[in-house]
Amino acid sequence: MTGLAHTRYVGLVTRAIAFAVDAAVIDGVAVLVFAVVALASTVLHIPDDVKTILLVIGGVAYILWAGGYFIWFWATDGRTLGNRVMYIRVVPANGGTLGYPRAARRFVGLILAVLPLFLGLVGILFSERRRGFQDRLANTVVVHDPERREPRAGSGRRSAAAAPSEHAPAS
Amino acid sequence: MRFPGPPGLGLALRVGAEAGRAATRTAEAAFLMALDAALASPVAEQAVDRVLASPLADRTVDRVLASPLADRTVDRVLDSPLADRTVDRVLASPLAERAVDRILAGPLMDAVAEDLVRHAVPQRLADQLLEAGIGDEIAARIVTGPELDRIVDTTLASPAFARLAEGVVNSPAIERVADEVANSPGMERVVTRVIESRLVDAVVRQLLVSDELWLLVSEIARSEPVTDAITADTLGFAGELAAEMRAYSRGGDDRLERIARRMLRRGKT
Repeated sequence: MTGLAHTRYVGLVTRAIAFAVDAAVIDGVAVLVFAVVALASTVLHIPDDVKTILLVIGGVAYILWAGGYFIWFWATDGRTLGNRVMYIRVVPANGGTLGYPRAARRFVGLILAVLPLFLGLVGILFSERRRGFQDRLANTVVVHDPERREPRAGSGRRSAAAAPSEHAPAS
Repeated sequence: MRFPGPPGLGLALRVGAEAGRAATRTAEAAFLMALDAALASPVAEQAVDRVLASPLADRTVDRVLASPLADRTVDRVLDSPLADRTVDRVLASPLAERAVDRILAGPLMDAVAEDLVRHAVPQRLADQLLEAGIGDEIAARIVTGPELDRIVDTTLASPAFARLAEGVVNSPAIERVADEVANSPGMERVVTRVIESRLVDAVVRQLLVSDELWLLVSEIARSEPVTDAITADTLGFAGELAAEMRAYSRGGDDRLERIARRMLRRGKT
């Protein structure tokens, strides 16, 4: 934990914005693919049974695409595209690398946290290290990216001013 | 050349020739003295007056002047190198210079100038020259001749012209005039009429249908500096937007947690 002693854990608002960016990317690609398939289906005569099968395949593909998106980014870099925009990173709570198994566990934890009316995310508001259910399940934390700095001094000052010191990094 | 003859003949001839020349000089001097005396005498003066006053003299002069001989003589004199040398000497002599100075400084010139002005001689002369087309010919000659180009080139290249142009451009008067012209209602009307004229519409239409314009626009749009600038601006704008969002989201994290914890404490109490 000493490696994270001087990092700052990320709160719910920032994580929600990052997730919204990720959702926009995932849904944007999915909509584009769906539009191409739908246009092609208007030209080709496809039976209804085949359409149903295609819908099921599309649903499964969407889940795989969304899951693969998060798992691959978390496992390789700890940063999805939304995380890159918000300068945040998912890291193991005890240091080291995240890896695919832990990234997959975190993705499952995220789904489980969201299903009961987002109750699994409440822990981010009250825990000292701002950990939700998915973080506890995968033993991860979300921190501000120490490798990235704000390009403008004004933004940096505003960020520092807006950041109270009540959440000191956990040792 | 020596002539064969008895001794002493050469000496005799030389003595004889010298005696002849001395006699000639004596006779010439005597003749000149006699001529001076004759010319200085009242008789000669009266004779000259009579001759000059007589009709014979007039007729003689008329006939001489009307004769081809007089013309040829005058032509020969004027064409001779002697006439040129004489004119040159006269012009170069201090005497001529003094004479011209005295004439120019004297009352004669003033009187002549007054008469010229009183009788409007310059105006009449100018009118006649203009009526004869001399002015047009001079203008045509100046415009078509190489002298104008030379004069213009020399003028434009001269430092004096540069100083003059700089002085004119930087002068407050020119600036004031330019301001007055630019802000005048007349200029506004002219600009409005130009903009509303069919000429502008025609030019714009012509530009819009010209392939060269779109080729130019395409070249500019594809040029590396322009695309780099657009990319930099877009990325810069997106970066600034993201930075603002990050700053507000961090504050939002803390505020949301404070609100949640306050609500939790109230729920407990």
